[in-house]
Amino acid sequence: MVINKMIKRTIFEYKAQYIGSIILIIISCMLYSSFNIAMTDALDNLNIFRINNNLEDASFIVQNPITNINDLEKKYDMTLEERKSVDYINDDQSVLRILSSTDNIDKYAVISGQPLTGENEILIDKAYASAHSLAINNELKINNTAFKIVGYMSTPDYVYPLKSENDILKNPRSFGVAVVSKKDINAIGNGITFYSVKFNTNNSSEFISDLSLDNILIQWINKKDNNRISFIDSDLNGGVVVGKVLPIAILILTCVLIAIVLSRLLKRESLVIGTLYAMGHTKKELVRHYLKYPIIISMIGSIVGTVIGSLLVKPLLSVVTEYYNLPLLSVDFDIKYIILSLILPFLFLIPVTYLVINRSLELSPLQLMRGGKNKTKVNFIERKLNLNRFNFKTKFKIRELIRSLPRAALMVFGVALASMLLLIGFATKDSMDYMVTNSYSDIYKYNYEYTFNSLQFGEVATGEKRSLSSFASKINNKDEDFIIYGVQKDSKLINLVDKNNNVIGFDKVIITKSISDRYNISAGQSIKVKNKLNLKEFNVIVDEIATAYTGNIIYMPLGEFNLSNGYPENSYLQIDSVDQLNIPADQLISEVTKQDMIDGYNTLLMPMRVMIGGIAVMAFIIGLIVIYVVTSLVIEENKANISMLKILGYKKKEIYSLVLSSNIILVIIGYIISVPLIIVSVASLFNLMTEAMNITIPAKLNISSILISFVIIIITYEISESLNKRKVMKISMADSLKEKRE
Amino acid sequence: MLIEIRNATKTYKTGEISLDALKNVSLTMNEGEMGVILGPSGSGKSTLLNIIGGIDRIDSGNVIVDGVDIVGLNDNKLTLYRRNSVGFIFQFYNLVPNLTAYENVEVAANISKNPIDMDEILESVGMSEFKNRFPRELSGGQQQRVAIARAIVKKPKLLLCDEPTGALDYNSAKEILQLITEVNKKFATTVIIITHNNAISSIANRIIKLRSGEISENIVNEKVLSAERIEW
Ligand SMILES: Nc1ncnc2c1ncn2[C@@H]1O[C@H](COP(=O)(O)OP(=O)(O)OP(=O)(O)O)[C@@H](O)[C@H]1O
Ligand SMILES: [Mg+2]
Repeated sequence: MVINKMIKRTIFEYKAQYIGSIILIIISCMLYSSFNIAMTDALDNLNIFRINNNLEDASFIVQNPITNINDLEKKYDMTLEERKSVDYINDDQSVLRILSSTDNIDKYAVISGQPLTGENEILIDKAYASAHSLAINNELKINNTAFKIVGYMSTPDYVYPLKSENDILKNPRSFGVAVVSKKDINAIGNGITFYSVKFNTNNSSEFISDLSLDNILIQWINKKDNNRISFIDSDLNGGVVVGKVLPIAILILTCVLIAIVLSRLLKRESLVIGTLYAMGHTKKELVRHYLKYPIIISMIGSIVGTVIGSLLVKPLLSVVTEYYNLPLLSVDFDIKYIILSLILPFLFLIPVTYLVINRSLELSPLQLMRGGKNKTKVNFIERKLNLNRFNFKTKFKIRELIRSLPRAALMVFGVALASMLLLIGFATKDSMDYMVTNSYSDIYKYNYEYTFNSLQFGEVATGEKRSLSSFASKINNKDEDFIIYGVQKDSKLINLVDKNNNVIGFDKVIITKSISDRYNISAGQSIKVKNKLNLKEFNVIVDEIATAYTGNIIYMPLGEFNLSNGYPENSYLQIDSVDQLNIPADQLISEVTKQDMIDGYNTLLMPMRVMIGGIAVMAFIIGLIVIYVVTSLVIEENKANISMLKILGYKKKEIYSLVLSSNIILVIIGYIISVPLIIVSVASLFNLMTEAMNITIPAKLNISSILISFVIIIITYEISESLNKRKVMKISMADSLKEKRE
Repeated sequence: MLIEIRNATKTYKTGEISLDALKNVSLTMNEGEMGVILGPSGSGKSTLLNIIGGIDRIDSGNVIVDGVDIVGLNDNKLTLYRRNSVGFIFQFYNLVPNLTAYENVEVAANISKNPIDMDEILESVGMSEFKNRFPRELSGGQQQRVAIARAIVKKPKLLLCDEPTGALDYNSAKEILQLITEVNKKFATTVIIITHNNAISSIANRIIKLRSGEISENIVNEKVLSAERIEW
C-alpha cells in the first residue's frame, strides 16, 4: 500500500520524536528486565542459601556453657549448636572475626577455592581479602600460627559482614570474617562461646525461660534484629520496587508523549486521511495503518531494551552478591519477566494510541479534508484569561503556554519524572548522610564502646557506665523487639535532643523517633516490656522522644534500669569512653570503635556517587527527550506563526524568546512538583525497605542537592532548546505563505 | 524614486529541473504610487513582491529601495528593513490564531519604533468593537482588516498586498480596497497590489503585467478610479 511508504517518510522526517520515544521504551524495558530478573535471582539465591546452609533463628550468649545440647534439641524440637569466635586484631588494627566451622547451623558456603579439609586451613570473606590484598593460597599468620587461605566463603549469618549486629555500614578494611575448623579455633585463643539456634516450632520463649533457670542469659539476638542477616532483604526488596515502579512511570510518560506526537501527526495528515476515506479506504484499514507507529516503536524499544536488560542481569547480580557476601548459586532468566518486558510497552501504548487514532478517524471525510475538527479552537482558559494589563511579550508567552494543555502537561510530567529520578540519588545520599551524622556524631560522643561478657560492679575510672538488655513487647498483637539502655544520669557521651533541638537529660525515659514513628507511641504512653534474658516484666512510661533513628532503643536512668530488671544495684555491662581503654579481650563480648563506622561510610561514598551519577545520566536523557520533543512540537505547531514573525521583521533572538522561552516556566513547575514528591516517595521506599528491621531511615533532601539538581535540569532545558533553535532558523518565510490557514 | 529594480533574475531549482521565476525584470516606482501587478498564475507575481519585501532574495540584479540596495543587505539588516519599511497583506490574512485581534496588531506595534496608537488604528480599520475576538471568530473581511492594521501600524514606506481580496466576497473586497487606497492617500505609502482581477487595476496609477517571469506591460494609468467606483 502506498500509505506504508508514509510511515517510513514520517518517522524519518520527525525522527527525533520517534527516536526519543524509542529510547524511553528502551530505558524502561532495560530497567524492568534487568532489575526484576536480577533481584528475583538474588532473592532466590538468598533463600536457597539460607535453606541449604541452615540459617539460624537466633544466637545467644550464656554465662555458663550448655552441656545438654542434645537433650535440649529433643525437648524443644530445634537445632542448637555451640560456636566460637575469636576477634583477631591485625597489625593495621582491623579485626578479623574467626568463627568455628559448624555442622548444622549457619554452615559456610565456599564461594571460590576449597572447603576446609586439614589442619591450619582458613576460609575468609572475599571483601576483607581484597581490602587486605589476601588471595587464595596465601598464608595468614594468626597468633603465631600460619594458616593457609584455601578459599573465600560466606555464612548465612554474616551475609552483610558487620562487626556488631547493630551496625549499619560494613567496612571490609576494618572488619572481616573467617572460618576455621573447630579444632583450630581452640588453638588460636579463647574467644567467645555463643550458640546458634533454629526452631522447628514456635517455642523460643519456653526455651529462653528454661535457659534462665540455671544459667544467666547475657545476650539474645533474633535474626530479625541482626543487621548482618536482615539488611539484605530490605535492599533487595527496595530493588524489586524500583524495578517495578520506575519502568511503569517511564512507560506512562512514553504513552503521553506518543499520544501527543500521534495526534499531531493525525492532524497534519488529516487532509490525506480525508482523501483516503473519500477514495473508499475503510476506517479499519486506516486505524491499522496508524497503529503501525506505536507498534514499530514498541517493538524496537522493547526488543532492544530487553536484550540490553538481559545483558545487565549478570553484572547487576554480581554487584549484589559482591556487596553482600552471598554465593552466586544460579543465574536464572525468569522467562516471565522477559515476556512481560517484551509486551509491557504494547500493553501501555497500543490502547492509548488506539483511542487517539480512533477519535481522529471518527470525523467525516469532509471534516478531515478541512483540516480536522476545531483546528485552532480557543480553549476555555485562553478565552477567560484577561491579559490586558500585561505587556505584549508577556501576553504572547502566556498564550503560548496555555495553547495546548496536553503538551504543557507532558512537559510538566516529564520534567517532574526526570527531576525525581535525579533527586532519588541525592535524597538517598542525603538521608544516609543524615543517618550517619545523626547516629555517629550527633548522638554518640564516645569513640569506644566496650561490652562485657558478665555484669560489672562499682565505679569506673574513665568513661561512663551503661547497661543494656533486649526486650520484647506486644504491640498491636505483634511481638516487637526493643533494646533498653540504662544510662548514667549525668551522661555526657550520649547526646539526645528533642524535635526542637533541646538536649534531653537522662533522668527520663526516652524513646527514639524510630519507635515513635513506627508504633505510633507518644510521650506519656506506657510500654509493657519483658526482658528477654531474665523474663522480668515491667512498664516504662515514655517521657521524651529523641530525634534518633538508630532503631528500637529506649533509654532510661541506669539505677532505674537495674531496679526494674532485678539486676544488682551499681551493676553495668558496658563502658563508653572517649579514649581507648585497656580491657582484656576475654572479658569482652565486643569492642566497637566509632571511627570504623565513619570510615565504613566513607568507603561507601564512592560507589554511592557512581550510583547517583548513573541515575543522573538517565534522568538527563529522559529530561532531554521530553523537553526536546515538547519544544519541537511547539515549533511545529508554530511554524506559520514563526514564519509570520520573521516576515514582520522579528529577529531570531526575539522569536526564540517569544515562542520558546515560556517553556522554562513549565520546566520549573515540573521541578518544583518533583521535590515534595520525591521526599514522599523516598520516605515510603525506605519504609518498605526497613519494614522488617528495627531502624528507620528518615528521608532527607539538602538544599544544596535541590539546587544542584535544579541547575542540571535547567542545563538539560538549555541543551534541548539550543538543539531546536536550528529548526526555527530553517523555517522559510515564503513557503509558509503558500499554505492556506485559518 | 522609491523602488528601482534592475535586471532582477530568480531561478528555482528543484532537483534536475530549474525554473526561471523572474527573468531580467526591471521596474521603477515613485513614492506614494499605487501599483497593481497582474498576470496569470505562476507568472512570478508573488516572487517579485517577496523580493521587494525582503522575504526572498534574487540571484542577480539590484533592488534599490529608498536609495539602499537591499540585495546587499545581510540577514540582520534585511530583517530590520522588513521591520521598519515594509507592511504585508496576504490573501489568507495569516493572523496568529491564538492571539486576539488587538494582540495580532500588537505583534507588529511591539517592534516598531514609533507605532500608531493601537486604539486609533483599530478604529480606523473599523475593528474597535471586535478587538478582543480571536481570528476564527471573525469573518474573512474582518480578519483582513486586522491584517491591514497590523501592516500599517508601524507606518511603513511600502505596503505590499498579495491578492488581498482573493478570498473575499464582492462587498468585503471593495471595503478592503477602499481601506488600502485610504492608507495610500493618508500616509503617502507606496502600495503594490497583486491581483488576478483586471477590474481592480483601475484604482492604481501604475499597472504592471507579468508573463512567465517577464514584464510584458508597464502602463501608467491616467484615469484612476476610487475603490467605490470599480465593479466586476
Ligand atoms: N519555492 C519554490 N520552489 C520552486 N519553484 C517555485 C518556488 N516558489 C515559486 N516557484 C515557481 O516560481 C514560479 C512563480 O511563482 P509565483 O508564486 O511567483 O507565481 P504567482 O504569479 O504568484 O502565481 P499565483 O497567481 O498562482 O500566486 C512558479 O512557476 C512556481 O512554480
Ligand atoms: Mg502568488
